[in-house]
Amino acid sequence: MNKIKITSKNKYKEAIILAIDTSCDDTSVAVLKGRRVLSSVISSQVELHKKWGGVVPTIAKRAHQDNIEKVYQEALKRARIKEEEIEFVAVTHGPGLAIALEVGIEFAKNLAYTKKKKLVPINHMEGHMLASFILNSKGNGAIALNKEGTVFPALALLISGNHSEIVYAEDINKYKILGETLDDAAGEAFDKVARMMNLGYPGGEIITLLAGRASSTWSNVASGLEERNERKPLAEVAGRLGLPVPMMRSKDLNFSFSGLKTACLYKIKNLREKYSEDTKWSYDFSREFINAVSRSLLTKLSKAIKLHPEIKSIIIGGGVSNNKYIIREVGALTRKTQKNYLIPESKFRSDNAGMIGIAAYYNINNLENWLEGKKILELDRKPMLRL
Amino acid sequence: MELIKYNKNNSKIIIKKALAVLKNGGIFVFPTETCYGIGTDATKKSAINKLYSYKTRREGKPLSVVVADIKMAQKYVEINEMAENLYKSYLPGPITVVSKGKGKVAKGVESEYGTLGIRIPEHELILDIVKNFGKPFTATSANMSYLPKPYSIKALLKNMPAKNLELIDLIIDAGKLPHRETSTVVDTTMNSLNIVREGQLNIYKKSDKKSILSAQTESAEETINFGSMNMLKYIDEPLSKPLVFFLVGELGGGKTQFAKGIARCLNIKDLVKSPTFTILNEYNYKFGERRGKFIHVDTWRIEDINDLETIGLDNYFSVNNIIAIEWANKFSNDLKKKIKKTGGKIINVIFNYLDDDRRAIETYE
Repeated sequence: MNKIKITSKNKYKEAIILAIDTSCDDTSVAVLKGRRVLSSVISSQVELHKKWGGVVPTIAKRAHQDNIEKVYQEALKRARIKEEEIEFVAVTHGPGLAIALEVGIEFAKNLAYTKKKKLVPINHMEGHMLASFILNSKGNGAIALNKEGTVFPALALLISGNHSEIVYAEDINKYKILGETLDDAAGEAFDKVARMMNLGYPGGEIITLLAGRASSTWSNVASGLEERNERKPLAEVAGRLGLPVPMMRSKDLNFSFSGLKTACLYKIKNLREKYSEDTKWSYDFSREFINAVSRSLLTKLSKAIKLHPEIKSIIIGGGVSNNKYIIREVGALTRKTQKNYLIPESKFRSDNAGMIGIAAYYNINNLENWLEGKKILELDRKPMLRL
Repeated sequence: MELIKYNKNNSKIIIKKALAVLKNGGIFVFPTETCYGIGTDATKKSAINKLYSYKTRREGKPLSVVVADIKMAQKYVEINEMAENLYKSYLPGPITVVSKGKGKVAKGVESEYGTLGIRIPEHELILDIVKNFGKPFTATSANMSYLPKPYSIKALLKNMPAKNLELIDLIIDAGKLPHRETSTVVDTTMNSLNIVREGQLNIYKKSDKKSILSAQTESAEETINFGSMNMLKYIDEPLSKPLVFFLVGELGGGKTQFAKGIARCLNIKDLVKSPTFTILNEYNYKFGERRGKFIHVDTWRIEDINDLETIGLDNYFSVNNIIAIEWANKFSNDLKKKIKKTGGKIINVIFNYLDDDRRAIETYE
């Protein structure tokens, strides 16, 4: 029953799906043929005409209708697909910034209604949830199943700039949030702590780079992924003097990263005062920070696994799972459980329209979820949509 | 076009050839610690135009340029504390640090916003070339637009049209480079701490203001309660105009917790999370007979007041709506003008750290 239809015999298994996501900072459009992503274009990769002249604010640009048309044309071009070949138009209808969502939805509705295509509204988070099922244009995917080959029920850890959630997935479209962040998301904590360290924006990646220069204590944990550094570990962030692991003692499956943020602020202030010009403290500190985030995620994930021993798979999604330290530990935990480990290819972990397309694929094939005719015009944005 | 294979012994000849190309406004392909880059004199207009015939310009994005050290960088960009920090901790290395440019490079190198990316590659040969040249050269990846980043000359030249190939004067071939990710780009021009601080000082001279409530909270829970308390003070007033809270304080100051308190008072059952990423979260509230929207805004990632218009904030300044704006001090004067037009009321909430969990919070009208 719960077997996911990977070799679906349904009539839409080779359907051309156009997928649109405008929930985040970028406008993304992808073209899929069945589960295969033929093209996936993000607005920042496309050259836009200098139509506005002078300074164009980032968000204004994102909200601009012209932008999506260009990204759409580029996605079709790269996929070598013509507009008339599109059968389904999938679009994120939430969660996200209202005005940004509207841009994608209006475009999708217009295209679907005037060109008589089927419209598939998708929850952005379901996209992250199912991104592991994407196949590349050659038909290869990242998913590795055990002999049983059954994916559901599954637990998903979805971690991004805007979300940190543990979700129980009984089947496609049957989801329940078991735990989520009460304040800041994991990715947001990275950017904010980077800001406190004076590392610019977005700083999440820089913290990870700095962590690569941490002293041997952390390098040992890292087992050869980064350059070895035999410096003595910084006493202020090592062992018991380290940062608190958020929500360690809370009984539920929720996350909270605002307390860690505050602890970081103090630690950074002290380290700055002590070392003034010498910024080498930032290496060990960064590693310890990642460690605190990682342990918080791991603690809650293992708790969730213990509570739900029946699950067949552990699914990972969201841009934070591109952090090599975090994903290595999540991977190690998952392998110990002998469950299926589903993790998207790197480029499909952060926000992209390919994942909206794959979620649409399963909504179409497994549930026949779509809108046609006048119904299309009723679709509205849902900025606070939940799984 | 000349192709020369780089080995440890011929760096002198290569440097000489590269300098000759640079001085003539030519372009050359060079290895870095990430992928192959393409370089041309960043201060020469004809050279930059030539580069843009090779690969198209990306709107809004500055080209990055190679410099020898922070001293050379300072001639071309304004290096703030944040940038200096990055130079010290990580350069030379695979990071591009974006700063405000001084307009000393050729047109088309800085972005439309006047920013410029600086790169100091961890590659001895390249550092030697730039030191000898004494000026920055471009550091963009050597591929043509929309093609993958090249890690070998073979991959770069594969299927390259003759008209592009003709534009290249010199290729320094260091063989197959290890497949390391391209450099991380960090923008240090955004929400500079200095500006934020100035804003606070100018706008919130306490002596001018009438204090409404103040508290020292000892935990996040107490900050939430204080937020509720503030909201409650206004909920019974027959508000025919929007009520706007300006939440001002450092990262981790308790602004989001305070907003949770407002929501709790307004009987909002949804989880109020940080709006940093979405910028604006919208909740419906019902309190007795009153119904309206609670709008939670975070301007932390916003650089331009026009962006607030674009996200539709203005439309929310209407009857019965309650709006909490984190980092309102970034756009204080503009926001005040907008709110004044609607006749709305502004409550300033200032957060100060005392220590770990303790905050001093004061509210003023």
